[in-house]
Amino acid sequence: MEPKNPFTKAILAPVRKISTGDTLLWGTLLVLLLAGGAAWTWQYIEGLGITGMNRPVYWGVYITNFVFFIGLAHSGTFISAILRIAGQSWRAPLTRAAEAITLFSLPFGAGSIIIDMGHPERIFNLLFYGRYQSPILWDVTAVSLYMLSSIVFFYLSLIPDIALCRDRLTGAPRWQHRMYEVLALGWNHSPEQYRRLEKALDGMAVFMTMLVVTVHTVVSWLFGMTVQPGWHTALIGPFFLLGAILSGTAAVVIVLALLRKAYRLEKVLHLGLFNSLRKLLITFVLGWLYMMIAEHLTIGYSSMTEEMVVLTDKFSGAYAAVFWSMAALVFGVPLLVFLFKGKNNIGWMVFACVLINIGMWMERYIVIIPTEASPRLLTVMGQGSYLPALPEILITVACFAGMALLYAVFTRFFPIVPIWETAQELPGHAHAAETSPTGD
Amino acid sequence: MDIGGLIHAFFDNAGPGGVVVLLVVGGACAIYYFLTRWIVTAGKDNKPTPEEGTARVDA
Repeated sequence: MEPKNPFTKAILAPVRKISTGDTLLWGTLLVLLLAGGAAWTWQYIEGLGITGMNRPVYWGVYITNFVFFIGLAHSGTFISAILRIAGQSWRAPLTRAAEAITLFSLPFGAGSIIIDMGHPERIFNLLFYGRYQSPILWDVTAVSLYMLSSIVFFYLSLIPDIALCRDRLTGAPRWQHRMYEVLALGWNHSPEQYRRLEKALDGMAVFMTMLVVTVHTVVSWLFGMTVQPGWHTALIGPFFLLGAILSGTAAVVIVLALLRKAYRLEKVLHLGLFNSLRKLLITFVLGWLYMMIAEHLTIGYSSMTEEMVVLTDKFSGAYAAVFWSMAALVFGVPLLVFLFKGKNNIGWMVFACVLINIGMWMERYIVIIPTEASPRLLTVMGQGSYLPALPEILITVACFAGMALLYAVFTRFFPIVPIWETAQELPGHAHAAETSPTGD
Repeated sequence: MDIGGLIHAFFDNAGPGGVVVLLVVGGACAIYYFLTRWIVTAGKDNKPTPEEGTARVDA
């Protein structure tokens, strides 16, 4: 029994054709990705000395990218898992678009750590010589499990729609049809399959929610477990987590708006979804501001010498421009836009969400670099400074291009809106007794 | 059995940490494999045989 969804044809339409625009876009992104690959090869041969990293700034934009991409990856889990548990049925059309962000940003987040190692084979040192005292090993465990669980969570909810592609897209090239056959795992749309799938997804949603909190808390502990100024605070875990959910949800808005426009999905990705996301974003922006004030006030009030060096650098010193721009981009401008312009206006929403993500990348940067430049043992280590070098810039651009490329290619081969899940939200329900799909 | 000593050894020695990562990820792979199998094999026994299918069409 195929899901009965009046939007099936519209949702499957982008899967059926690859346009010249696609080829151009994919080609451009591939070139950027290859440029990053070349920069990585250059770095592999010459060593990390060609980057801007130095003593005592041992972490630069690679670790910034790591935290940022892992943060983006929280979008899918938030929309799919947390809102599923909360019984928010309006989230159904967004789930796959959000989960795809998770799926395609995680490899670049985890990969940034490997790039930062200089020689990737050093990852084996963690496996052979790792000891569980180290937060780095907690991080490897959490991120690996999160990546695996995200793939499974994504794939399970995709299976019914792959089966639909297998059954409907008979005119697709032979290899593509064979791919659907293999990936559908013999799915036959039986009510029992759907019942078990729902049950499994409900169970996994609870697990994924716990995992998402764990992952970004553990990421923050890479910093928090050291005794460096600005990092050694119990607030760093929830602060990182809230920032991650904020940037992830903002990324969902950007992606949805692009998909809606490019694939003419106005009826499925309707305005109401954006308005619901707007309310969520207002909450997250305010929550983030609360954490920001709590963190900096606690640190500043102590007036400890090492802490004040870093705080002064951020507020009025070398990093003040980045810090205050970040505050305006993440909080000031977006909140005004959401409150006064964002309602029923997707363009303004996208504008604010782009600013949030630029600001959140800067926030990750401002957490890492000032502390590294003025470490606790300042008299021993000396004052540092940092500016990203060409290989770091190329690799960063390549990470974003790679993520966009994977996303763009995916949307041309698989339905980006879950047909069976949105069908369930329609009157008459998807898996009712009717067997004839009248979606077309 | 000195459980305290074992815990100490686990945290203080190089090597066991990597084993934990492999066990966690490997265990999750196994669980997810069986979960996926449990879902997709549901209802496959209830599928009509070709004969049944033909009979229904004829009727």
